[in-house]
Amino acid sequence: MNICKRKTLIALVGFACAPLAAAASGEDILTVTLPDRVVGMTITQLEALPVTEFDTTTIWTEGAQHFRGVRMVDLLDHFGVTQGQVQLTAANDYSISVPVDDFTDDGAILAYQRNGKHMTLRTKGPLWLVYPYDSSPEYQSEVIYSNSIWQLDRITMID
Amino acid sequence: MSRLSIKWTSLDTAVIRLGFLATTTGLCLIAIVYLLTDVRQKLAELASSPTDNIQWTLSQLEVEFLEFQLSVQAAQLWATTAAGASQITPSPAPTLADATQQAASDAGTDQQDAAQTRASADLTKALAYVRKRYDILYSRLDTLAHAQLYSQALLNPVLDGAFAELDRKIKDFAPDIDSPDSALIGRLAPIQRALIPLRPDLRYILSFSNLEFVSQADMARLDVAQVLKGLAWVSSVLLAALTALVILFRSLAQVAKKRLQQNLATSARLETIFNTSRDAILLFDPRGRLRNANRTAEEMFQLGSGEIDGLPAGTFLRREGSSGLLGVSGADLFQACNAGPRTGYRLIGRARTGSSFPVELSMDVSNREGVAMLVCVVRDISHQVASEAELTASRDQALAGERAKARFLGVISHEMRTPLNGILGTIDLMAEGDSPTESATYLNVVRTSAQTLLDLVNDVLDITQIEGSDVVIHPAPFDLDQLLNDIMASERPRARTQGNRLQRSGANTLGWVNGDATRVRQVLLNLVSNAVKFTSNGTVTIEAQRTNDIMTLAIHDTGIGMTDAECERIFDDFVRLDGAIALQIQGTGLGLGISRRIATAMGGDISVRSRVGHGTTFQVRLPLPVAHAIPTAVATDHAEDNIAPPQRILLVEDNPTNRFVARRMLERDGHSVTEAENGKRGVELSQMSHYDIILMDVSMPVMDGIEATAAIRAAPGPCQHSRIIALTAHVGDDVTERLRAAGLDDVIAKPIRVRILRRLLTEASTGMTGGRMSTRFDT
Repeated sequence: MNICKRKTLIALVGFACAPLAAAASGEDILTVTLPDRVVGMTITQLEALPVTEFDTTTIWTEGAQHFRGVRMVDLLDHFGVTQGQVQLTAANDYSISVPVDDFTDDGAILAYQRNGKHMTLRTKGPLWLVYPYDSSPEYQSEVIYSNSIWQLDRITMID
Repeated sequence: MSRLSIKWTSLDTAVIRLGFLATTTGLCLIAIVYLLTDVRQKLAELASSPTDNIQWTLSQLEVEFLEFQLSVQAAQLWATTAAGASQITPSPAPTLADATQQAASDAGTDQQDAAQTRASADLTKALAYVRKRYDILYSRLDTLAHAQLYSQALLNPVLDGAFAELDRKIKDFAPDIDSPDSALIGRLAPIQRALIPLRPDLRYILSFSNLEFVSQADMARLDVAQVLKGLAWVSSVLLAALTALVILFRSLAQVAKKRLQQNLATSARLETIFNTSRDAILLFDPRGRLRNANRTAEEMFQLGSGEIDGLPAGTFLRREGSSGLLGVSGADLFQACNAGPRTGYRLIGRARTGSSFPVELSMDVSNREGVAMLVCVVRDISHQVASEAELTASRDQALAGERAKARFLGVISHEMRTPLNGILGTIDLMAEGDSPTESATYLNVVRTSAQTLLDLVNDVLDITQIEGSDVVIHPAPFDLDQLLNDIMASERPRARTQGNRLQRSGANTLGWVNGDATRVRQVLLNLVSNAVKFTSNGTVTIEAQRTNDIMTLAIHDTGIGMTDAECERIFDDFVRLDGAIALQIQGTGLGLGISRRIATAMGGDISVRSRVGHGTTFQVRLPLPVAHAIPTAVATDHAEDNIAPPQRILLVEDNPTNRFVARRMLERDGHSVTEAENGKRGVELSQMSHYDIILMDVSMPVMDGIEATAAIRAAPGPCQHSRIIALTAHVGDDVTERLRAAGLDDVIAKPIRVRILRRLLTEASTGMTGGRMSTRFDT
């Protein structure tokens, strides 16, 4: 990550976080770095993608949570990504790398709403990679938990 | 037996052990299944982790805290720099994160205006960064406080609310953080001051939580270890139980094998006993079907080995029923054994060939394995039954003999008493000697009476001979017409006395036939004599008819007749009918019995037809084939009254009366007689002088006639070749044979009659001794 980008990001985040309210719909909340370009995505753009909703408990919250977001496969499909690795990075620079093939049709979503509200940085926003943990013991492993990255703001596609 | 019972006991113990081990194995298996479920659950727990990386998450709290603290310090620095652009103040100690900015600010001191603007922009960025780090820290605290996994450890009472305190204090910064930049700048220093003392607390909280989680993980591991250990224990017990089971099964198998061998040996022995038994052994099922039979049974009932199974008992075991022989049913046999083992049960056995034989059964019901089977031991008692029958028959015979003897004695004593009465009475009259003229009458009475007695004795003798052995028949051609005429001639005087007419009818000329003339005469004479005796003022007719070789001779009379019952008894011995007794007709009751036996012996028979008051017809059928006439010299026997020339006679006789009678008879005819009272004396006398004739009694004391004759014939002496004539009361062909063999020339049966004696002496003196050896006795 270069300094220039980081400065932009800090400014952007700082502006966005000025009030406690959700980020304005006009600002990019996600930066997608493709091999040939960098795309910024606003909440509106994300919400325009096919919506997926489900209820699940998580080990970090109390009680069942309702998540609304875009399925990772749909997002990748949107960018025409079919192979390689996906690097997801959080606001605190926590980063993970997941092979494209690991995202399935009933797997992780990129959630932008929890219990009907947009998420702020204080409530693990703006984006949270959530798996349907309750649907299968498959989604109850430490790897999945480690992949469940919150405060996500950057995605990089690697061939 | 005791060995066997020990084996049984050991087997029982083994079975108990087996049960115990099987139970143990079952319990072990249940425990293992339970533990395996537990293990699977634990494995599932391990497979799906309830936690993320705890240590990482916890350490992140400290990282975020420090990041926030650093961002606050950096913002303070930029604030100081911005303020220093108007009044020069020493900059605070640079921090790591602000190295770049510090260098930039150092470079920019020369151009104050530009620096002023740049510092202000940097301060804004730094403040934004503070806000971001605060939000991240805030989120982290929120997560730890709300995630159940962490809150349990962090809100532990031991920490005495340290985390809650920390959480609260940090979240208290939120109004300052959220305030505008100008206000936030003023709050940076107090925040920084507040953060410094929180650091040790944070450290303490995290260390404690870390230990807590480590011990939790340890416990989980121990838990799994505990379950696995239990599993290992139960598995060991199971293994031990299975091993014990294997050992027990082996020993059981050995015991069973040994028992099998014993059973085989026992059954082989039983099989041998079964098959070598002399009695038939049968095995029936409750329906009375044969299930097994031994070899003796196959032979006894002549069964093929293939047809034994399922054969109904009734086909070869029968009983006497009201309508002949009935088959025995299985129910009959089982019922006979109701009160336990049954012996001496008699039935009739029936072989396949149809022959029947008496059998005796010993049987019992065997209740092995809930199925009642009837075991029958069958013995063929044909021999036993036969000997029983024989015994009964001989007893009956003995009784009949007793009865016959009693009847015989009764008849004989009566029939002897009558003529004896005549003799003794007449002798008394003669002894009185009233008048000599009457003595002729008296003598006639005595002779008749004596003759009756002799007849009686002859009859008895005849019946004895016939009873003792078969009647010997000597067939020879004879003139039947002549024989009938002789009989009629001999019976005519008696017929005349009774006022009867004796006549012949039918064919007048029967001619010569082949048969035993003596026996035919005996039979016919008896019948004619009876007819004459039982008829008064009537007619006796002899009728002869020939059919091929069979001659039928019927004797009709018009006498008193008999009832049918009497007709049946008439041929029995010693039977005298009431009519005969009432009419004072003499007889022994033997004549008809003798006649029938003789007729039967000749191949013929005698039958009788009679009506009371109308008469009787006896019919004799005899095979008398036609024969050629044999010309014979006219019998010269009629020169019976010729008296032989005087002879020297030695009379050997032990009885003085007989000696006296014989001496008188001989002396009257002019012979000289020397007496000897026994055989020994006779031999001595014969050695001393010559005698023409020796009359030798047979039964004598000291030396009997046979011995004496042998002695005379053996030793050379004057009488070695003299004629020796036996005098005997024993009569019969065999006696004659024996005497002849002993060297005797002729036999005279007692009583001695003058007529016979004279004839013999005449024959001896005239040399008519041509080997003719027969008993001379008068009938």
